[in-house]
Amino acid sequence: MRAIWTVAIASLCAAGLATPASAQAPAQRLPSAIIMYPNILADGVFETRIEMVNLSGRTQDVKCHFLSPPTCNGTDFFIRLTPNQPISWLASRGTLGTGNFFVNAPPFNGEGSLKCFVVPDEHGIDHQNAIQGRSITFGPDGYTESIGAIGIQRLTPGEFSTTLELDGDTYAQCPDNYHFTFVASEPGDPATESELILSTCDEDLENLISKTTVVQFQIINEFEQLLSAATSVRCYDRKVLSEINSVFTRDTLGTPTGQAIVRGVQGAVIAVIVDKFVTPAGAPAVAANEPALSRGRPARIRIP
Amino acid sequence: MSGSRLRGVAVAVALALACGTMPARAVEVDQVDWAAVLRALGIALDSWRLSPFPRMTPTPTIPVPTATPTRTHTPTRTNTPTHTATRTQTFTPTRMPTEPASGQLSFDPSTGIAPAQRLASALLIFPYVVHSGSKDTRLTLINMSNRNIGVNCFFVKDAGPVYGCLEVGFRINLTPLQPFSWFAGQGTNNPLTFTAAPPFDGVGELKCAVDPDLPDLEAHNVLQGRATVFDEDEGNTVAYGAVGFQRLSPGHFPGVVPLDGFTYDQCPERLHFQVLTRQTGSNSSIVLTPCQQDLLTQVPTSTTVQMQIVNEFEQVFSSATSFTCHSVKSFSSFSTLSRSTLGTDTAHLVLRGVHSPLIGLVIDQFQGGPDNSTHTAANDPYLEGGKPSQIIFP
Repeated sequence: MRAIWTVAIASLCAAGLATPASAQAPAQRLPSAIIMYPNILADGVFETRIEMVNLSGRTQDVKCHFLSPPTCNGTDFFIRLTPNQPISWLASRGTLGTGNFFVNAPPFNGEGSLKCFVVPDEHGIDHQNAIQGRSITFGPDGYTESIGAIGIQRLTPGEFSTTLELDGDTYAQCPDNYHFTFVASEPGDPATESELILSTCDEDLENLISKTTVVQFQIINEFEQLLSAATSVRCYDRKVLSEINSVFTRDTLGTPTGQAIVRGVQGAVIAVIVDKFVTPAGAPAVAANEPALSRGRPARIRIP
Repeated sequence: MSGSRLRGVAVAVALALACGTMPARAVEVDQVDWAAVLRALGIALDSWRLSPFPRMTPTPTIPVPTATPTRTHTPTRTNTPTHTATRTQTFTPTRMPTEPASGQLSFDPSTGIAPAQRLASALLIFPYVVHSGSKDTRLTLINMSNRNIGVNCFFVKDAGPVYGCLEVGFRINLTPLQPFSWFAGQGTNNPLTFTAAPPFDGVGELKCAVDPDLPDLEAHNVLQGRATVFDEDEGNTVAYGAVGFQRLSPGHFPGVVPLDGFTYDQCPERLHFQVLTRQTGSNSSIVLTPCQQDLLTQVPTSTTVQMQIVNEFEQVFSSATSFTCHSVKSFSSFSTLSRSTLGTDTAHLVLRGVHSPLIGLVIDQFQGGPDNSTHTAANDPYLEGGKPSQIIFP
């Protein structure tokens, strides 16, 4: 009888294990274990202020990797944040810490993305979901893009591993679908020419393997008419919407705004649009356009 | 039992055993053959020793089940299924990430669950909508579902001490996956898409709730939106995503929206911002609106706001303010947000509403770039904890 119960309990446990991981998009604006900055730009004309804040009452160690094309090799560094500490630095200058010798970030030149991971000293979820961040890219004539980092929360307690499973069980999954409302491109002086920033969610920084993935777009205009387009990305890319496909132009779309649903095919991607439009009075304006998220998709990040 | 009786029983047992095992030949003898009895006893004892029973007792492979690693695992695993089934329960462990009491912030530990952001939602709050002077706002809503939805919206602004809080209500119908955008100062009336919104005037906030045909959760959690406030002449922008609240249990739209953590997500208990401190060329602003609102009887909500500010050296400062309905305050109103007081370029600002939880936004304003031009940007908060609240729609 006892044996039967043992088998029954084991079966139940197996059934629990076999439960498919939730395919939900990761909840945003919450303290997270992994944060991904989609866009860092420092080229002499444009500069990026990188911000990171410890939202917990504990000291947190954070490992970060800059990734930039064409090599897609990572530049890594460690940061130690004291309880509730905010830090920020300019990408092109890096930082040697102000009063905190454990805040050392190297200077970064060019454009790319930044991924940071909490390396906890204990296994509890509370010890891992602790940080958040954003980047502010600015340039001449008031040019400003303020982009919040995509946050991925740890879901179950456990040791930190250098292979991070974004599977909906250990960590939340990467977003699968990105929903943007975008302003259709229009010629003019200045032109309305929004841009799309893409990076991959999967990374193998240990073996320096960077995969290319196709990115599919579904575009719905205000009359509910459906159009489509596609492009591809390897680690990081930034493209003008109208150069990806003419469906992003007002002439083809037929309405001033549309909804674009962006999805990676071979793997999950991180996507954000930078709106570049002209005000009714004719002034050029720039703003980051952060998407709404739906569904989740497994990904894996390997760090050295 | 006495010793003599015990001996008697032992002898009787021995005799019985002997009878059972003795060869038939021995029975014919008158006298007891004690050698045979002893042999029989020996055989019986041997047989007991060899029998499986003594082993059975130590065997209790029982330790194996006792170790029950299974038992320990079970609750852990429960997490995963819970995730899919009941959202409320599911996110409980995930959504309470920090233990504020262990830090240096003097607020009570947060208890509830903050609303997840940037997901398809049932209620949206745009904390900052402007049509004033050269500023206007492009508002955008998207239907993220494959069904038609109705959306009830209310624009609320603080019209000053004489008029109090004024509201403008309207209803929008969105076709499947339809994007819908308009300028706050112009409104919209599109006969082709059967959508209309009135023009707004002043500075205020916008709340939009999904009123679905069906009581299913999938029919409620379908909406997302963002707003881009821009200066028509300068081109400066403040673009942010609306704060979203998901419906957690099925049911029809009640008109009264309980943000209680069971019917809808709770309001965030605390808002965390990383801000640029006020210094020459940099003067940001805080936008605040209460979560609690009674649009039916038009009773405006007033609340005190407690602030804690942590600089880059982990030194803590505090401040407080209060407001009714809607508020936009410059950092210059708070000496604790200046660089000369804090000593660092950035700070961690934590806001907590005392009488009502808050929705808020910081508008960054700073100088930089090669031409030292003025920049503005929206600074969305990170959310912590949850607090019950209620919005009553007319």
